[in-house]
Amino acid sequence: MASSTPASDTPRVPLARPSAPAAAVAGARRRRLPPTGKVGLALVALILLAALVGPSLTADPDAQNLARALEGPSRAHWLGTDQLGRDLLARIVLGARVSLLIGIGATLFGLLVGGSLGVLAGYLGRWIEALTMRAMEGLLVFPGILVALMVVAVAGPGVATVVLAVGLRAVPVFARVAQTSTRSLCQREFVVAARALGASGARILARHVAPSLLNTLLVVASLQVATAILVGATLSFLGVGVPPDLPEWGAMLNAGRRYMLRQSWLVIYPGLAIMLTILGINLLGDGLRLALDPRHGRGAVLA
Amino acid sequence: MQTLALALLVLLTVGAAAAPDAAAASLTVLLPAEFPALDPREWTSGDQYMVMYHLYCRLYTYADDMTPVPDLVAEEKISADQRTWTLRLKRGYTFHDGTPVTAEAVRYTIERMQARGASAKVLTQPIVEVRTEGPDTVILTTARPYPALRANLANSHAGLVSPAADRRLGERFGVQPVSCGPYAFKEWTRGSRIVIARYDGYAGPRALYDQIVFRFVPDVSTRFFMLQRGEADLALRLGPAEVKALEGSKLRVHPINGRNIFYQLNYTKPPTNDRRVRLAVNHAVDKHAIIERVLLGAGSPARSVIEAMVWGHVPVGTYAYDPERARRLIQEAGATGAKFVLMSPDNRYPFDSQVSQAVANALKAVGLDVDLRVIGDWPAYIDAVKQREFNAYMLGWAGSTGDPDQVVQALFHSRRAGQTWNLGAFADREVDALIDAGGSTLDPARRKATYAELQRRLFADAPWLFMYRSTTFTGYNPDKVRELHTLDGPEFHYLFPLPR
Repeated sequence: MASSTPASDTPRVPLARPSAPAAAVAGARRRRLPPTGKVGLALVALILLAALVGPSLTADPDAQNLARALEGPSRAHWLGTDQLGRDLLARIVLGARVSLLIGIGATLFGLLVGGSLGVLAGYLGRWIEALTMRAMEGLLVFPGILVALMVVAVAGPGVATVVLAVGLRAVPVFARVAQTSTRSLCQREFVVAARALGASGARILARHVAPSLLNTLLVVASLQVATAILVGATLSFLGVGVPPDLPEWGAMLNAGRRYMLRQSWLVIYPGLAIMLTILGINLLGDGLRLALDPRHGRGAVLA
Repeated sequence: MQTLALALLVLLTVGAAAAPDAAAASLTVLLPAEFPALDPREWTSGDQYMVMYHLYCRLYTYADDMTPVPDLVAEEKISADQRTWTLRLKRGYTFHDGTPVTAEAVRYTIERMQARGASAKVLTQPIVEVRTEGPDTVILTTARPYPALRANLANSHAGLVSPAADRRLGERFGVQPVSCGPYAFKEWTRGSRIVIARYDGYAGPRALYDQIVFRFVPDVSTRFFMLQRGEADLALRLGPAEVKALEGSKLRVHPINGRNIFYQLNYTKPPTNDRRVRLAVNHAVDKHAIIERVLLGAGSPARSVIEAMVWGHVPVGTYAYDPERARRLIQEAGATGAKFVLMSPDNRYPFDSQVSQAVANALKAVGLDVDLRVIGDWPAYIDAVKQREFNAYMLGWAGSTGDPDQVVQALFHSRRAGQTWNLGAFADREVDALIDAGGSTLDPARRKATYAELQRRLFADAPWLFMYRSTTFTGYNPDKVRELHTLDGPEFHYLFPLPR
């Protein structure tokens, strides 16, 4: 794979892709992630690891034992047990999987739908652009949680609905970024040149515009994952998200809050999990933004 | 140490707030849920009843044990055929708009309740005729001897309505109610508070406070902290954790033995159409552990289909926790591995979805393939339950009139099989006969015997997965709250002296 890439890529790069992904990624590799970004990367790696392999290392998160409910941290249960005697650590670790599924799923949905709409609007211009962007602004004026609540009210609760509800909230965010970037890209020399050479609209979008947008959208996406996780947890906390028996951090907060005056760990640990995840993603996203932004050189890392 | 400091702080705030004159002037009560209106004819699911009992006078009222006692009725005569009640009213009572409380107003109120579409209709359904004889005698005729009449007329839904005000206000009556209770409606700030003020024209025992402010505070922690900081004098529905946190402070806690919580079982869907499976699920669940651990002790095992606060209750028994026996019964019924749909609300009753998770786990352990469906939105939950795909669904029943007739009519009569609230489609001719007999005899001893037999039969057939009576707690400041009457069924209090 690695050996075949240069052969097929070489003829095209100098001609029409001055800022195509290969160049950008190479540039990113040269630039360094700022220290806060590294902390973020470490946190995200930890959460990813927990989501991927954690559940196979911990106790059964659904095993109930009422006789041992609401116990504090012990050797058998490192973070204690919940109101049904389930191991809190196991549930928080499995919760990482649910939260990341919601965060990444919703962001992908927003990226694909919002990104495509934005690129089309920005490229085609005229009434299509006006119509699409007014619709997006219409969505944007609603607070995100309200959009999500409306979707849940119509479709009923469940993981898929939460992904859709939270994803819908992200659509206008991606659409706006994609539209403004596309408009400015369309005026750049390499796009004008491609058009002059007779490239079709589809080819220009797929080969020249979309790849150049990727960096920007990736940075937006990384920050959107954090927001999506938070909105998903909020929905579950409000009792309209995932079913309460699923170990989701927001749902755990909701269930634990009735016990928090005495068994405070029931809300502290899920709360910490949400906080660290969002902190990690935000730090990483910010670091990526600095490292990928062509306007920032090495020195900008300090800024 | 922290608790001590907190307790000290509470003592200080309470001490500062308890100047004797201030105590008499105004009382602040925290209610969890607001409601659309205070119209007695409408049945809603908010916390309007505590407000309504202070505003509305009735012909009868409830004593502390929920038995109905005369309030505006001075004398009661029942005809030989037990179908005609001649009620003479006490004199001197007036509505808050100054008009007198007359027999005509009673007739107006009952006919208003019986109007098409009024949800409180069910309480006066057996009344076929209302006549008046002079200004203070009203004569009620019922279709059959009707023993629940007193209890039903004591309910806030039978609160007397000023005909003049109702005609004048029309649709707005529910938000500006005019009745004849010890307090009169003053103002309602939507989403925030209702203020009621002492009615000086009240002919009954004088109200203790100049005014009562009811504030709507949905979150239990907020209610707790407001009570603790002295911003409120009484908070309804605290949880066991809040009660523990109040220990050692000057604030007092009063338990309310509230709703009977159970899972209604489906008689028309396998495997719960088999009595052995219904018995098995009752033996499979460790109710004591659930009460102790999940409810933090705030409950007691249910012992009958008729709750303890309802007249005629007999503690028939409980099914012992015996998972071995449950497994065997399920095997005998050939139901091992059978799909079992368990439906549960979330945040409707204390700890409901947590309890349902524990129950689901217990049923899995005895060999059922449990599909737990938790639906948080109450109307959506009821809609889903009405599809009757459940094998078991959670319901809480409050005996809000203190009479068993309505409870068993609604939950077990075959006339309502498959409809609310007999969605499990329980139907048994002998049970129907007992329900009908209990609902049409005025002789308390015979009635009691009928209901005892009914409760034993129902318990034996296991139409429910019997769970517990949930306990809620009212926290209050004893320096300010001087009289507290508790109604266990509807789960709230009177703050005024009972009629003499």
